[in-house]
Amino acid sequence: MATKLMGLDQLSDQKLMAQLQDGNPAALERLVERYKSKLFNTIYRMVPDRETAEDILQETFLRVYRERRSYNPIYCFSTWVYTIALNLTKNELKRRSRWRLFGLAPNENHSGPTEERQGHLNYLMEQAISKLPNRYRMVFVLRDISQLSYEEIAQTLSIPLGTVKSRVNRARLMLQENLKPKLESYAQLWKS
Amino acid sequence: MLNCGRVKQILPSYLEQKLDQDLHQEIQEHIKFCSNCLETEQSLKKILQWSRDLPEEEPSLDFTERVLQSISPAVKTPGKQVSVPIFRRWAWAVPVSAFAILLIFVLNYQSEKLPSQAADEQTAISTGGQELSQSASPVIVPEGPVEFVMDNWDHRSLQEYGEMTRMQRESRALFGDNQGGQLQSENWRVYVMPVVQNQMAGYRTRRPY
Repeated sequence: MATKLMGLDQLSDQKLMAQLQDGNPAALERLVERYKSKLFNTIYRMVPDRETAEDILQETFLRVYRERRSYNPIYCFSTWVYTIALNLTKNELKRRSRWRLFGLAPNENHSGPTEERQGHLNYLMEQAISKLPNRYRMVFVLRDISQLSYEEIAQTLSIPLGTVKSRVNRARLMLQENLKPKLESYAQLWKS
Repeated sequence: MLNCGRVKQILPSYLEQKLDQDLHQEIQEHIKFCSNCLETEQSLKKILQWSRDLPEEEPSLDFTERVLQSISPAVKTPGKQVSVPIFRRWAWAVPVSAFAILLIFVLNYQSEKLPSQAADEQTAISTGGQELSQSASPVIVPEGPVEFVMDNWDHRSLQEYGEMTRMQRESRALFGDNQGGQLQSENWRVYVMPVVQNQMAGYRTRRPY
């Protein structure tokens, strides 16, 4: 089994999907290992609630397994899996916005501010990111946190490349405007 | 020549070095002499750096195991898969209860309406001793003000009516009550017409059933 897994490690995503289509569940294990951190990081930045983010991630891999026959190997696996994860995330965000409308906002368990300098900066960043509108937050997270290329983002979200670029720019400027006063007061506090 | 607004718009692309050579140089020149844009550039740089330095979040250690368990039906546990919140679990109850309430209202309305309809069917309106309808054809009694309308009303009928009422009055005077015959004619039909009172103008208009 170990040697078999070692062999699977060398395979590309497309080949692993072909193995999965042939009925080898070990291929799914490899794919989960490859993508779980990247995807979780992306989902968690969108839905800042660990439990829900894990549920979405689990559902993503379940869908990969269930829809394995519909995967076309000429397309990039990462784009496919990101599309599934982001569609589920979008559904969750829509549901949350509906809840918020009725005053039933679910808790978002970001880490609180810490004494440590970097910890506090991270906290400020997380807060500012979570305040961005969904469409801008999504492209910002994909570009600046998950480090996807503009082309990959455009394919994953099925929007034009120009729109992706302008949204990323806009998101960065919004973040900068939001963070500027906080950072100024924070810098003064830190100096003192 | 670029202004500050335009520079601010394309600064993120400038920081990623995605602009063409000329535009890149132009912004570089602008930033040298514009303290505002320089400040924006500096803070954008920091933000980009911080967003890259955000700590990597990891799912729980047994995540892969859980995924593999959930795909194999043999080991499938009935426990927690994807937690469905209580609002979603009972979401179906909203349209069902709305439908049930609607149904109760409709049934209630029907049961209230049926006895009155039955009473309507048995009601017959008589004007001057003349029965207007038989139980076979139901009479609709309008709500609100009504007018008694005589059909086939012409000059001859008017004379005939006047003659008959005169004769009736005389016969009443001579022979007492109801001895002089009844007010009826083959040509006349008397029916009830609902009317609408115009509050402003004061006149009444007949409205169809």
